[in-house]
Amino acid sequence: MTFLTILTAPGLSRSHLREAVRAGPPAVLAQRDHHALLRSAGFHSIEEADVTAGYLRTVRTWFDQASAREAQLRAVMGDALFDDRQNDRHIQAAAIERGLLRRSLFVAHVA
Amino acid sequence: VPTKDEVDVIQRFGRRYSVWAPVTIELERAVLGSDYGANGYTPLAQAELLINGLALRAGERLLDVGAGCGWPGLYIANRTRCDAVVTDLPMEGMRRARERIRSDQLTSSSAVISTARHLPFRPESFDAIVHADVLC
Repeated sequence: MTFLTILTAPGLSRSHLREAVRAGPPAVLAQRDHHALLRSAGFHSIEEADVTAGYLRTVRTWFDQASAREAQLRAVMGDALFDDRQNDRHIQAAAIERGLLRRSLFVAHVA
Repeated sequence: VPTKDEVDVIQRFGRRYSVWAPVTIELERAVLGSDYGANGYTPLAQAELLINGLALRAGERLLDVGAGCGWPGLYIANRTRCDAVVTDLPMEGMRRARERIRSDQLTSSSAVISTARHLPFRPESFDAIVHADVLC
């Protein structure tokens, strides 16, 4: 199994954790350690690679590229969805920059 | 019966996947390098990392859970010639994925509307599993 996942950074204070959860995707709230989850499901040889820098770059690029096409996008998706998406990206980028959110690539194998 | 979170996913992502226009594909190409209707955080370079991690061979079976419109599972099927089954809850996304399967002639791949909690497959149906930002 190979997967990408967004996580809250380890060791956050309660207030920072709340901020991270508000800024991240809905299930970023999951607190179980992914290594433990994978081991309990029978996976082994678990490798984790940090891809947070790429995550930040992608969120920023979504924001910038969507801004560059704002009029066309508002015409096809409507103001509410456009504003909602851009607001999410802005908040998420700020949370990544502050070290509240990270993203990892996991590779794991079964026997 | 879908949970409250699943209903939220169906509504939130269904709304996004139903917006399909030249400008949204142009935007996706500029950000991710893909043209599947994806709106997540997995650019082409990371789809290649997934391929490296999966080490699939032609004809092996891949399950992509929470695939949206088929990215990256159908891209992986195209690159490796594996047989992919992509799953997700929003009907709009899976409809796009089926169109992509047809246009890319991925005759051994399929798109299935399903929750990740109760996947409708027998044990050991797949050689590999992939997902992007489903657990988060």
